[in-house]
Amino acid sequence: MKLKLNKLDILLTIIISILGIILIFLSFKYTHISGDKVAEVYYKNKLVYTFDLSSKGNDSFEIQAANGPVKIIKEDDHVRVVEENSKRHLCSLQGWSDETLAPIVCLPNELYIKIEGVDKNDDVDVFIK
Amino acid sequence: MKKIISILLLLILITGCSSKNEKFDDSFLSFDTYIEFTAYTKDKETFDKYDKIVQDKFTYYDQLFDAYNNYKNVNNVKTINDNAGKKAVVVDQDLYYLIKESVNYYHNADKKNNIMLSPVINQYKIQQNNYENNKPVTNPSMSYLKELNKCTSMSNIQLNDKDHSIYLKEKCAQMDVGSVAKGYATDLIAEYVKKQGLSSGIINAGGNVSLIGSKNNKPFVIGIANPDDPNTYILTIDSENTNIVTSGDYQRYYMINGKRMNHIIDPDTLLPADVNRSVTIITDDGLKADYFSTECFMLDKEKIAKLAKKFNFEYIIIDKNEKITISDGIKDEVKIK
Amino acid sequence: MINHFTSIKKLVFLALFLSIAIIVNIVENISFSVFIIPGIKLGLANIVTVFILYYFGYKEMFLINVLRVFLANLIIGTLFSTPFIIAMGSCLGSMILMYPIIKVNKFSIFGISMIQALLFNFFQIIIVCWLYQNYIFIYYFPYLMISGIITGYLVALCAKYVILILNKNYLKGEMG
Repeated sequence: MKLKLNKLDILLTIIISILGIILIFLSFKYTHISGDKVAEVYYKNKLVYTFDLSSKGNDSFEIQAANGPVKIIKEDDHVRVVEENSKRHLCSLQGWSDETLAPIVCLPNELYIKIEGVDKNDDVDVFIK
Repeated sequence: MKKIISILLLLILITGCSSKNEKFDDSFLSFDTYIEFTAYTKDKETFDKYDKIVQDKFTYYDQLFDAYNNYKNVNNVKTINDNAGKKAVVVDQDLYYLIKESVNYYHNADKKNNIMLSPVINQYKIQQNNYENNKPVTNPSMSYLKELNKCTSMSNIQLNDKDHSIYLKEKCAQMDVGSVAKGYATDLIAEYVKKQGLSSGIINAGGNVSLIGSKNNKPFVIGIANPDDPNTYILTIDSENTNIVTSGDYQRYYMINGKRMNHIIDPDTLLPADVNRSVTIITDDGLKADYFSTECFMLDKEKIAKLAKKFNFEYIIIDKNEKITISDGIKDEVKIK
Repeated sequence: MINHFTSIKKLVFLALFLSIAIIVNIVENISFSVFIIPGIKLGLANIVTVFILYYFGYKEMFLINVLRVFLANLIIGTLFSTPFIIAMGSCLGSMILMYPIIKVNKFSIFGISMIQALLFNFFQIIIVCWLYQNYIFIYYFPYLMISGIITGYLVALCAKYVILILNKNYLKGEMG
């Protein structure tokens, strides 16, 4: 094993960097949802509450989670965690979220909040009345 | 080294080329109903271009097929009616074709969808208007309807293939193509806008749907209304055909003594048909779909099945007892909620 | 591989570096969790890993790494819990996949370290997704790819200088 940086290493760096950038770009392009969104709160992988992010106004939800009570509030179109019992308060540190790419994850409390897009008339493309 | 660069370039190309189409829609009034135009295009500018084409075309056909208003420089159905018993009227090819096909279907199907029945139908329309405006309603007098019915024979229509003219023999004969016009117009417009370059879209003209292409390579999903609660859908079709038309007893009606009088009048009884709650016809021809959705609304499932075989269309029947019958050809594409 | 150690000296040497690795691991754990999922770390303890790989060999690196994860988690108190599973899983996975890459000997210490970091992060994500039955964490991977390259490089840089200094000291006769 050599100590000096060689051509192969540089090539590796360039490829991975470009790949990383492309992937980040792609993940934004294909998951950004415009329009109505909802914030789904999952506890122990089960949906326990849904915030409607397309309606203005405030809403809050509290749940007895693994480590204690967790309080989540929504203001207009973003959500955040305000209270939780965990060592580093990572959940509340994550701040506000309103993007599908930025779920709020509170693993010690086995809770996460997913942002999803929602289609008003569900599965039909056209409705014949 | 070369391999790696080519893979990279390929990746970049792929990300560059896949530009997703966005969904846009617009609604406007035509043919006395709300028309919804939905399209998947590159951007709003492109959508607006197609939207204008669709609206202009609808205005054109609305005037051409209108039986109640005259328009400058257009020989439409009203013109034909005005000249009943007097002279033949030369009309646009599309109107001529519409009338000729309706006559053909009438004689070869079950003789239920009569475009000359308008004197009778108009009596019911008066009551529908009363109902919508909270005025008192009564059923039209049967003896009066029978009088009016003397002028409603289809044999009144005299076609001239050479000069595309229509002549109504009796002075009292009045034509109304309302039971076939929307389906035909929607189909024509969809075909036209497809030729102009639109690859994915839907035109929904108050129950007459024409589909263009598909939604990102998946078939469009059509929702059919629940007759008891027409704001919800009771089943969906993953449609690979292009034209779907539904006739339902909840579309235009008036209530009298707790009974619903719908808008599709049976020429044999001169009363609203009382066989089904809704009939949906699925086929690739909009005129055919509209014609048979009206006709089959008045028929039982055995007769419908025979017509479907003869004229090649699929159907979904929701009968008086809420029982749903789906034709074999589309059984796999229909999901009941 | 540098063979100027007797086996007892080797044992002491390894134990010394093992404890350094454990300390780095613990400190890193307590200080911050960059990507907000507990268990996902930068992997600075890999400085020791890479160093051992260069100075002794693959087998020694494997052993020290496994012991490091085990003991660090024992001390912190997260033995057999989620962070432990993530760390051990990624550790084993990345080292097993590293074996052929090391054998081929086409990369320098920098390349090896970067690949180590990438594989480690890759396994971390996969294990977290599997543990929480949710693919959503995959979205973090592109960022970890880039941070992996950077930390991989820095880790290798540190290890390189440790090696150079040690060699210099040996040559000077200070390590016997």
